[in-house]
Amino acid sequence: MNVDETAEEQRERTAAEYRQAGLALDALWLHYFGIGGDAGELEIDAYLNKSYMLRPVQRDLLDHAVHELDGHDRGRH
Amino acid sequence: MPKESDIGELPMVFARVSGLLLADHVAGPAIARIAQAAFESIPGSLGAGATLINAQGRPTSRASTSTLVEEADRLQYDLGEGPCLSAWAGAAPVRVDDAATETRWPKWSESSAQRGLMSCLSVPLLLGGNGTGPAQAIGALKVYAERPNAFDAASQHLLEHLAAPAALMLANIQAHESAEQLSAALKNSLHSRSVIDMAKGVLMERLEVDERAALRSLTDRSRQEGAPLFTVALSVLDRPAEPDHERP
Repeated sequence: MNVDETAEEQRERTAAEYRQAGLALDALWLHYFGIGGDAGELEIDAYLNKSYMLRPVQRDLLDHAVHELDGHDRGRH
Repeated sequence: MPKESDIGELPMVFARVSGLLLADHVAGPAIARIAQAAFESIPGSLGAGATLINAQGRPTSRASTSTLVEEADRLQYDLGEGPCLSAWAGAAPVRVDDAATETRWPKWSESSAQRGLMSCLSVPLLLGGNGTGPAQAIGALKVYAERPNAFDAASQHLLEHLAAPAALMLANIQAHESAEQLSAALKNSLHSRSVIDMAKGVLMERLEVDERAALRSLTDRSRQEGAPLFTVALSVLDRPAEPDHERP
């Protein structure tokens, strides 16, 4: 995660990884919720489609949720 | 695709729809789980209950940890008055310190006192209060106690802390998910959330940083070590990993 990137850049990067990983939205929301996310599934959907902006901590949590679901910690659990 | 201008209404619309669609046999076990968690985490409580309430003020699903609580709860909806209905209608916490002297809901207070339930604390299950429009209440979570003045601001904070994720979960789950899936997902998620939240708090204090920086510290370690955020959070709290814990 780049500390200097703008909100829009971060959104673009997270959305790209989400699309590339081919994740299901409901599974992503549940994982994001499980690590502390506070936004609803519709807001997440809108964010990933660039029509909504999440607050900084929520953006970081969603980015991390995509990262974890994208197999980066596979086999650990 | 929603436009930016109308996105604020969507969470509420969605909540209303999902609240109505969620069948009792699916929502039941989940709210029973929430009631149990409230009972276990609020000191001095004799029992707890959780209720989903539709737009007409009728309960669609309810769960209680004891029959006494269930009676006091049912009474509110029969009488059409009481702290939980007020918490739901006003979308704000309501506390009864002594049912014997309570005047806001005379009929309910009298019956509650007769049953030996002198204190009650009720918080709304709220949705959409994070800058996307006014919060909407989809139900209430409450605890009861035998003695007067059993609950204070700290109990209220604890109960609200539990109600927020519970409401979010209930509003976002899909109606086709089974009761077992929902209940297990809720249990795991609430546990995982609280562990990560605590670890974040510890780091904010230890490193003297804000919430985002504390979270970054956790996610950076998670990525470096290839370990889930939950595991990293556990290690910050100096707790052994829980091998039987199912990931959310």
